[in-house]
Formats: sequence, structure tokens, C-alpha cells
Amino acid sequence: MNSKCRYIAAAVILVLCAYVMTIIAGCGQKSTGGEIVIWEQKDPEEQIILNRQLEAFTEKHPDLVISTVHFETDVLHSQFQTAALAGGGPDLVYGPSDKVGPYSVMALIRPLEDQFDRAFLDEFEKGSVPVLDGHVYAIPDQIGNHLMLIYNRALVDRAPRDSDEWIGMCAAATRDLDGNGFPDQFGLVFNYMEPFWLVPFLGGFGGWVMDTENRPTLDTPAMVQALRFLADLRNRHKVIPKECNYELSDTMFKQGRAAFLINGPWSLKAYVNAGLDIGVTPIPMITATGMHPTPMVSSKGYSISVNVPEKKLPLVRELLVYLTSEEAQRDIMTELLILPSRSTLFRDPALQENPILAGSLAQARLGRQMPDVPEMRAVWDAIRPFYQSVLGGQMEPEAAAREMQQRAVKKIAEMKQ
Amino acid sequence: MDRPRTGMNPKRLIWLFLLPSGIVIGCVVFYPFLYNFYISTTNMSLYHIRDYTFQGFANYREIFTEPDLYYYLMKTIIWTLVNLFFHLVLGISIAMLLNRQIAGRAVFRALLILPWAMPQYISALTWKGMFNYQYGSINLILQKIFHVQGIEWFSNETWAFVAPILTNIWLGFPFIMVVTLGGLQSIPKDLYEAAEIDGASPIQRFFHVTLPMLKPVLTPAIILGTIWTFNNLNVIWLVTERGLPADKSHILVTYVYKAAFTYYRYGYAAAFSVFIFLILLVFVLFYIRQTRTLAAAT
Amino acid sequence: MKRREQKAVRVVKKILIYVLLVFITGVTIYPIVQIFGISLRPADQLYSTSLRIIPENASFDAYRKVIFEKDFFTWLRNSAIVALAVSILGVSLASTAGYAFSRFRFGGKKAGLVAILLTQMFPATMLLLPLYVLMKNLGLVDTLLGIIIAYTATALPFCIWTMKGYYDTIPRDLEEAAVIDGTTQFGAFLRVTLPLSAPALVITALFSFMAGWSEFIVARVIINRQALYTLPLGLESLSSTFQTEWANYAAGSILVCIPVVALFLLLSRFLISGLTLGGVKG
Repeated sequence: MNSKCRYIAAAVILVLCAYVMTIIAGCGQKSTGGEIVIWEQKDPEEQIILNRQLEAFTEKHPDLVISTVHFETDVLHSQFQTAALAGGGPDLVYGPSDKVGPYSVMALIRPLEDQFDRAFLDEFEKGSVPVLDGHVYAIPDQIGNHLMLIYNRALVDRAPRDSDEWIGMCAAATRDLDGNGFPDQFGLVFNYMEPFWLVPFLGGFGGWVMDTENRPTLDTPAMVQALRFLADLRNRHKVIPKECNYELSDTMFKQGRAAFLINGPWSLKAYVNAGLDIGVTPIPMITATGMHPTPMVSSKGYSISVNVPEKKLPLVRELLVYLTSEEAQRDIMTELLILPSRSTLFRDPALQENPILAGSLAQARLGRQMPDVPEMRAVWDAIRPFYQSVLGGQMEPEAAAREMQQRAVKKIAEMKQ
Repeated sequence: MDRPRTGMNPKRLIWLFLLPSGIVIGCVVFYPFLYNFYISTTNMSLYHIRDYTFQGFANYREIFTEPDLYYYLMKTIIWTLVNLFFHLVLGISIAMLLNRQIAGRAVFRALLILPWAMPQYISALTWKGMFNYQYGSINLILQKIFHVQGIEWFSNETWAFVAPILTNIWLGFPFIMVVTLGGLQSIPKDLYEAAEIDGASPIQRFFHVTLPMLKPVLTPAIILGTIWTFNNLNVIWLVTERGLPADKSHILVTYVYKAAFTYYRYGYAAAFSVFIFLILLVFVLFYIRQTRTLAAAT
Repeated sequence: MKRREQKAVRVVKKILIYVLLVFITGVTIYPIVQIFGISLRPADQLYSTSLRIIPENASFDAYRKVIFEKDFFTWLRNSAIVALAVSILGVSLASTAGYAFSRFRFGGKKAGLVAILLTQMFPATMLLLPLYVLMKNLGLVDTLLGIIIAYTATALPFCIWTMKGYYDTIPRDLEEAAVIDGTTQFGAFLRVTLPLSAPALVITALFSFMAGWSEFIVARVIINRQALYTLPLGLESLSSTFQTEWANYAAGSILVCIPVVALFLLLSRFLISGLTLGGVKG
């Protein structure tokens, strides 16, 4: 009897200890002034800047505690859906503008035009503030996400003028240095697994993913030509590696084994940090059509969740204004080589005199806005498998374009059921 | 058997032993279960996210008319069986080796548990890198040591299926190894001696003494290992970069994920989950009956 | 003559076993060594174009950064709390429930065992939303207790079945002998059965620990505050769609493994056969 009591007592004490430990772990964080939670998907270096800005903000509001939770982009998307639908989740959610579409349809984020006046919204670059059905849904702190041509100055001395010249330069730079029959240095690397990298060329041949009614337009001559162009790079000109994904292209460029790279502004700082002397220029004009490739440009910004209680709104709004202010954006711009969203900063010497930022801006001006609508997800999913098949040489571009279009239409119809 | 002289009424003891587990499992898991069953009969989706309506079995009908369904079901079954087979073979054999008194046993054990201990995300990505056509270690070794041309792992549908299988085998065998090590301890040595006296060879001893005695402890690992592998979306997703080539490397459970989070079709995804659940239920009941696992449970 | 032959055979066998073990271990840890290489590589390169294990310009900078510049100790503390709590709960709840299933007769036993398995068959993705709703209603969102309970619920099915399976191999006569000698059923459980099932307790403890130590899908949904981040969440914060800090991530991953390996070595001592220690045998 005695030993049994002792054991039970021990077990109860253990469980109580565990409970107490969790309480201790949790305490010390509740504050009187309230708490704001932000969910974001910023790169690690950007998170550092964000934390700095938040610290400065809380100095002015000593009773406030701001927490940030970091997620990878797709995970943030699914988590936010889950949590916000259940009535929970963060107060502010940060992400690219194409996520705004689905959130707005599901009524997970608030319309913002009654929170901010026209004058404020006009300070932002046209097209960077996501508007759907006449409602504003996010305030951006940067524009970008656009792919551009980055080159290693040690291997290439100038920017090509058009695509024919570019291919020639790539071929010259693809070399087998150790004589084992395989090239060790490639003219061009990029993540050709993702349709996102196909889109600029689609625009360069005069096509686009959707029409003004948000219907997919994938079965077009432009798509066929774009597919063929990229497939040729791999199979005919052989200037890109046989299997190339994001990490490999990133690694090879950092190691100086690639002359040209197609990547976005989020990566520029890392290359500078790796000691590379890089040049940034728009993707060259397509010789056959005379048109410039149009990468998708979007913005990233903060949205306010519908679950924020009314009395917290003014504070959340103030934080949002602060995080998208000119000072905040200038920090991001100069430290991370990312383009701001406020029009005034575009004329700032800090941007104009930096060749990398200037090159990035030049490409952004030639780009095209990414559609924010939920249908885009179906479109990406429809393009991906057939695009990969064309590149792998298993499918002809004409057949692929047809299949893509059929699948996109089907998936969109299913989504709208 | 005489009633114990002092102490608790056996019936109360049973409740005391079972109730805590029951409460925890019941609350945390059964409620989400029931929720999903309910949602699967509605049309909860992007445009009906809060105002969904009862649709009966419409979602289920749609599942069964999905043309690629049987292809993915087959793939999932192959994925599961191949993984299970190698997990068992490797896990059990290595455990048998490690059960002997050899010097440095602790070092081997510590190293061989690393695939389980290492976070799956970076392991999977490292394996993905090893499968790269030009720069991956596997092809490099094939070329330099075996003088065989490298395999285009991700351009070929079959090899792109083999790659995550290899990765998952690596990830999963330590678990079986640990369970077997535990199970081996329950086998009395005299059983082996008796078999040896009877003239049984080592192989016969293994199949007639070791394996049957391991059954009680290995069975949960096999059943649950099968279920976990069947639903393991992560490894394939990470190693083949979301379905290479051309979205062909999917298994059944990716449907669920995509339906829910890419297309926002929650009702459909829930129905699919119920479908997967039923498949696994049938398997488990069948397995339990065939191996008479619960026959001795009285 | 025969003795020497026998000895030679034994030595050859031993050498073969060693060679086999070394080969298997080598192949097994090759990816781990690569991860270690990533952690030493400067400029966050996930891949390498050479087979070298120690990269050029290798440095331990990533380890320094992860430990001192990130909240590594916070993550470590939280993970330790969660994993230990889940281990304790897992072992105590599973050892008792498994015993009940093994030794007692009661209605619905088979159904109960199968029902426990059912909980594992559902694809986890769809369980997240209702789980979140449940935790919210219980007020457990953003608490360590919340994820402790969730992890325990997912680890228990395997643990209960394993304990039950192991108990089934322990003859009842041993317990009956103890009862005849004057203890209660519960006492027999504690003093006879439990010590003999040490290997199964090892499996249960290790498995429960791992369930709490390396899980991050549920943790992501439930934990909001950075002060409550567990190690997997902390590692997540180093990653992003394109610009993961690979060196830091790899360094963090290596660090995350160490306690698991240490725990396994510690528990390995108990992987001994209890039944050879005498007693009543069938």
C-alpha cells in the first residue's frame, strides 16, 4: 500500500512539474499594453531588419509586445488559411500579393480603403497596392519578385543586346575545363523546373498567362515559341545543365561556374556577400520578335486579418504605416538591394547611383504585374508538368500548350464549384 | 486465481490504467476525425468557405471518377510495400548484428541512429542533391568508381520514383532497428540452445525462433510503419521537388494536400482523406486477422 | 585440429561482421557527413560540385552564429521541456494502458486496440484545422502544454501497442508468483513486470522523445510566440523559399541530433534481456 501511494504521488508530482515548467516557459511575455502578432515569410536577413524596426516601434509604445512568426511562403499560406478560418491567427500577415486573392475571397483579410485615405495610398507606386473588386487588401513595403539577368563580371564583360547575342555569349562561356567530356562551366543557369521562369519568355514572344477576364490563355503561338526557345537552350545550344534547379543554379553561380543567371532581387545581396562582382540587366530582347521578356512583378506587403478586434485596429494600423514608411523602406533598399514601393524613393540617389538597384529597376519597368487572383494557382499547376516534359524532350511544345490550357480550364472550373 | 488480498479492485485498476490514455487520444484525435467526416459531405471550398451546404456523397463520386486514381493508388501501394520490405530486412539484420557482444558496439549504434535523429527536411534535400545528374555524389561515384554513365534521376519517371524510395529506406530503417533490438531482449536464450541441440542451422533458428518471438513487438512497428509510409508526403515532395518529372511522382496523399491548399477544395480533400483512411482500415483489419495478432488477446 | 578450425571460423566470422558493419555504417552516415560539410561551407551553398567532404575555406562560423546570434538556447529549452514531458507522459500512460490490454479481460478490448490504431490512419494535413479549433477552445493555443498534449496523443498508439506486445512475452506466472508472495496486482506490475520490460520502455521513451523533439507541423500551427519556439521551429526560421541560410541550417541540424544520440546511448544500457535473470520459466 505504501509503495503504491508513493508511486502515485511521484507520478502526480512529475506531471505537476511538467505543467509548472510550461507555465514558466510561457510567462514573462504577457503585457498590459496588448500584443500584436505578425506572420511573415521574409528571408533571414530581412527578418533582422524587421526586428530592428519593431524594436524601435516598441520603444515608442512601451506596453506593447510584438511577436513575429516566420514561415516558408507556401507553409505560411496554408497555416494562415487554417488559423484565420478558425478565428485565430495573426493580426498582420505579410506575403506576396498573389496570396491576397484567395484570402480576400475567403474573407480572411480586411479591406483597407476605409483605414487609409487616398493621399496615403497614392504615395505607393502604381500597381503595387493589390486591389480586387475595388477593395484594397494590402500595403506593400517592396516591389520585386521579378526575374532579371545577372551576370558574373569575371566571366562576361558586358550585357548582351538581344537574345541571339546572348546565346552566343552563353555558348562561348560553356566550357569543359578539366577535359572529362562534361562541361564544368555553363553559360547560363536558372531554375527551369518552375514555370515562374518560363513566364518572362512567354511575354517576350507576345503572350501571357491570362486575359483580362482572368481566363487562362496558354494555348497560343507565343507559348509554343517560348517553350521551344527554352528547350533549345538545353537540347540544341546546350548552354544550360541537363538538370538544374534553384539550389544548383545558386551554388554554381556562387562558385563562379556560370556566366549568366536568371534570378530575382531576393538573391542579389547574397551574391554580393559571396564576393562576386555582378552586373544586373533586363533579360535581353528576343531577336525574333523585338520584344523584351516580361517577368512577373509583384509586391509584398502587410494585410490585416479579419480577426483583429475593433479596439486593436488603430494600433495595428499605426504599425502598418510605420513598417511601410519611407525610412523603413530605405533600410531594406540599401541593405538588401530590394526595390521599394514608395514612388519618392525611386528618384532617390541611393537607388539611382547603385548599378545593381538601377538594373533591377530597369527590369521591373519592363515587367508585367502578376495576377493576384486565385485562378493563378490553377494556372501554375497546369503549366508545370507539361513545361517540364517539353524541356526534358518528352513532349512537343504544341501538344504541351494544348494540354496546359485544358488542364487549367478544368482545374479552375473545379475550384469554382 | 484468488482475489488479491489487499489493494485495488481489479476493475478499478483497469479504469485507472486506461482512462488517461483514452481521454488524451479521444479528445485530441477523435474530434478532428468527426469534423473531417462531416466536412467531406459538404462543398466547403474557396467560394463556399463559410456557407457550405450538405452535398451528400458528391465528393466521393468525384473521387471514384478521377481518371488517375488507380494509377496513384498503385504507386502508393508499391511505394509502401517496397519501403516496408527494405526497412524490415535492413532493420532486423543490422539489429541482429548489433545484438552481439562486439567491441565498439555503442559507436555503431550511435551512428546508425543518425538518419532518424537528423531533421528530415535537410536530410531529404541532401539526398536530392546526391541524385543530381551532373554533380550529385551518386552519379559521381557511379562514373568514377564503376565507370557507368550517370542516371538522369529526375528526367525519368521510374528513376524519379526510385530516388525517394532510397531516401525513405535510409530514413526509416533505424526505427525498425531499435524496435528489433528491444524485441530481441525478450527471447530467452534457452530457446536458441534447445533449437541448436535439435540440430537447427542458424538460418532455421532465425526463422523458427527469432522471427516468431519478435512478432509481438514488431507488429505495431509494421502496422504503423505501413500507415505512416502510405501517408508520407514529405519525403517525395522534397526529394523530387514537388512531383518531378511532370507531376508524375505523386502518391495518393498529395491529392489531399493539393486539393486543400492549392485549390482550396476542403470538402473534396476531406472526402479523399476518408477514402485513404478506409483503405488503410481494410489493410489493418486484414493484416491483424491474417497474422492472428489479436487471437491471443484474451 | 577441430578446435583450431572452430576458432578460425569464429575469428573469420567476427571480421566479416565488422567489415559489414563498417560498410553499412559508412553508407548510412555519408549523407550526414555531407550535411556536416554544408555547415562548414561559406556562403550558404547547399550543393557542391566536388566530392570533397571538407570544403575549401571551411569554418565553424555557422555554429557560432546559430548558437550565439540566434535564440538557440531558447529553442533548446523549449524543446527539452516538450520532449521530456512527452516522454514521461508517454511512458507512464502507455505502460499502464498496455498492461491493461495485455493482462485483463474486458469487453471491447479488441475494438479498443484497433480504435487506437485508427487515429493514425488519417492523413495529418486534414487534421490540422480542427485540431487548431480544438486547441483554441481549450485555450491551449500558443502554449507548450498544447503541443505536449497533441504529441502525446499521436505517440501513444504505437507505445501502447508496443508495451502490450512486450508484456505478452512475459509469462504471467512471474506475476502470479509475486501475488502469492503477498503483493497486490499493482505491486506485481511495478516490481516484477515493469523491470522486466525495460527494453520496451526504452523503445517507448525514445519514440516519445522523438515525437516531441523533431515534430514541427503541429508546432507551427499552435505556437505563435518566438519565446516558445522549439528547435524545429527555430530551424524553420532560418529557411525561406529561396534564400535559406544553409550553413546555419545544417549546423543547427547537427546540433539537434546530438541530444537524441546521447539519449539513445543512455537508454541502450537498458536494452538487456531481463528474462535471463532467472525466475519461473515456461
